[in-house]
Amino acid sequence: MTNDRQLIRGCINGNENAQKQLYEQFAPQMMAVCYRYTKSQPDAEDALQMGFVRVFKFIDQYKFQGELGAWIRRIIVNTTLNYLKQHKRYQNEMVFTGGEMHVVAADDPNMDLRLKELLLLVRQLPTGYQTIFNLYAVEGYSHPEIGQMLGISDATSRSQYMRARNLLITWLSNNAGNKQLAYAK
Amino acid sequence: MQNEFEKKVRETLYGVEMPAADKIWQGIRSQIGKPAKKRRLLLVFWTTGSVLLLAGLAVIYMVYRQPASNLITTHSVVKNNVAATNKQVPGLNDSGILALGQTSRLPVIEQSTLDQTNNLPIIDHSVAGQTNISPIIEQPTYTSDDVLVDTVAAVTMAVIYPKKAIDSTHKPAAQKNRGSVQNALPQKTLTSKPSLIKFAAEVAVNKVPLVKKQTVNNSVGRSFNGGIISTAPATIGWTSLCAMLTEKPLAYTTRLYTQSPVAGFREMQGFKDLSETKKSQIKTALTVLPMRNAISDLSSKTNKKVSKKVQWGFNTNVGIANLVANKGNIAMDLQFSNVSSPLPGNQSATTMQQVKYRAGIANGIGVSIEVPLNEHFSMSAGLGYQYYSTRSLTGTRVPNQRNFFDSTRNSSVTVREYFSAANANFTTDAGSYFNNRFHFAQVPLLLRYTPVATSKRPITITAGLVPTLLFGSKALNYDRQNNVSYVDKTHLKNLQVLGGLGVAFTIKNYSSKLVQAGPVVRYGFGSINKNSDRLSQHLLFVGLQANILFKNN
Repeated sequence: MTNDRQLIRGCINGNENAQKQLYEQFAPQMMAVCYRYTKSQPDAEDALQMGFVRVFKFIDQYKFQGELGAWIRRIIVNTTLNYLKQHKRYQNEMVFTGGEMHVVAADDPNMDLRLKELLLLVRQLPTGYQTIFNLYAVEGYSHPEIGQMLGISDATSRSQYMRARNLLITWLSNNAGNKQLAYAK
Repeated sequence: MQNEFEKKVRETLYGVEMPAADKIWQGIRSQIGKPAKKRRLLLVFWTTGSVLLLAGLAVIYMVYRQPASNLITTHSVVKNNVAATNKQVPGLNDSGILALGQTSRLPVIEQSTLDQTNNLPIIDHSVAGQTNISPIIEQPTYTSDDVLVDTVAAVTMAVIYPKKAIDSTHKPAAQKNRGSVQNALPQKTLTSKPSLIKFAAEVAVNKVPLVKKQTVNNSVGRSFNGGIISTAPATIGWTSLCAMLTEKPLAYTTRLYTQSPVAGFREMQGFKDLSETKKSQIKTALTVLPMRNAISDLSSKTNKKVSKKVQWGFNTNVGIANLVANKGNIAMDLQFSNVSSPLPGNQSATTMQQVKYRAGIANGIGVSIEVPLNEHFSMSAGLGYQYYSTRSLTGTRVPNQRNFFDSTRNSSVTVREYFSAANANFTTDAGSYFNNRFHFAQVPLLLRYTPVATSKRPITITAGLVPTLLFGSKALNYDRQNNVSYVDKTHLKNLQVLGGLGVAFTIKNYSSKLVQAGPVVRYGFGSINKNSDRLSQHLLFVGLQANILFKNN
């Protein structure tokens, strides 16, 4: 925490070394966050850049409560969401079509949650599903909060998540039996 | 089972790391460096400007408060003019203010040697404000022989107003009533002279070594925007002031000045030793003073008499109003929203929501009284009604009663209808513009300045404060916790203080009344919202104002 404090004070004072140190400390993790929410490497890089610019701009608002990494992560996530909105990445993909949702069992012994495979499959989800899946399953936001962040209702968030989840489990189950999945980025 | 899947997913994906490309950091640096540069540059400019303003005021006051005889010996060039004036003015006791306006500057880096790296041309012409420079000079090498030539053009304005200077036995000829300057008897004779406004233009050239000693291998970053040596305004002002006080049509001065590098160069890699640049340089400047005989003009305008009677009048205005978000340079009026998070630390997450305002119609009417302070200045107080409207883009209207809780105020409000947030593209799809209406009672307290009070069509500059009381409103308030907008009067501040600035041109100048009209700007110093959690929004009004002032003869 002491190191974090020094680092943040340096960033607030515009110290380039401190800024770079902070960036290098958190960039790899945040790059993975941006990568998970986007469909392409350039989009992820743009979102990461915008996110860190915002982090440095508002670093003086960090009150040293909670982990610095979590604070940065939230800014990066929200910046990425705005990036997706501004670039119309999931226009027309957030439409709730209704219908009854069934939870697919996820205890298939063949289901393999290997990182690269899971990352690839999450990124293959439609952008709306992908966003909500990431927010709920990975970041831990609740559906009401996701609804507020994305401007949709709780029910829409919940149903979209269930669809994303079912889709992922189906893909994972298929892939467990059929290792033909191309792992290319 | 459902939780097991989420748990596995989170364990697998949450802490994943991926390498980030170097170019991302470069992009971040180029963006976070810019605002600091601008701020620093402005600070330098206005700090030196303010210091000069005070210095100018002091110098003019000291020089002009001397007896006329001293003035004549001090400034021989002024001698004849003052001597002429002295027939009517036995003693000068004047003061003045000095204002500066800088028009342009052109920093140019001159390299004395060929670039050793790629043998490219030796001169780099980089203009201030330019964000990218030609690829041809991407890898220049600067040496201690290289200099920065900073060419500056500036305009300086001085306002000098004599306070007292007339033979008490002098009997002025009767004059026609004009504006607030009256000649009706009985009246108090102030025997004051009109203001003297002088302008001077100046071109100055600074030549500064870029580095003091060793060769610096420099790679120019893309944030390069031209280097500027910062203290030129002060030196310009001094040159112009000298010229004004001596009444010389041309002034050429050489003097010592202090310089300091600004962010533009610090941002450039390889210029870290710029601080070793010499702090003092000899600077030369040439000043051209166009109003050579200005002081003699003063003598022809002496013996003005000012009515001290209170006058009254009507005023009305019409224009456009808007709410200006004061949250830094966030594009498209986006604002930040706090959403609680279940993650460790339970801090607020920052996300951007959409609020977009457009200007609406504004108008007002009022009465005022005006008390002349002297020939040029008068104080005005009034009472009036002002209507401001703005339009905010909202999403869908939901005509259902709903209770919203505001955790920052620990209170809730029940509304009969509310509006969802606008869509991401700020279009009116599934939304519309809501007309926000504000009704204010206001008490304008203004200082009016008439530079040439004897003119048939005097121009008046007005500045002051406009305290206002909000007595009626129907305006949407954006609730970012719930991401909706609704009418909630309890969120609005009842008292607002606006700053006002205007210029009034005379339309008609009758013997009994003065009709003036001109542009006016008003800006709210405080946010219209009570709650700091809401977006800080300031009222801005731009319009035309018309006044009728009844002369009290």
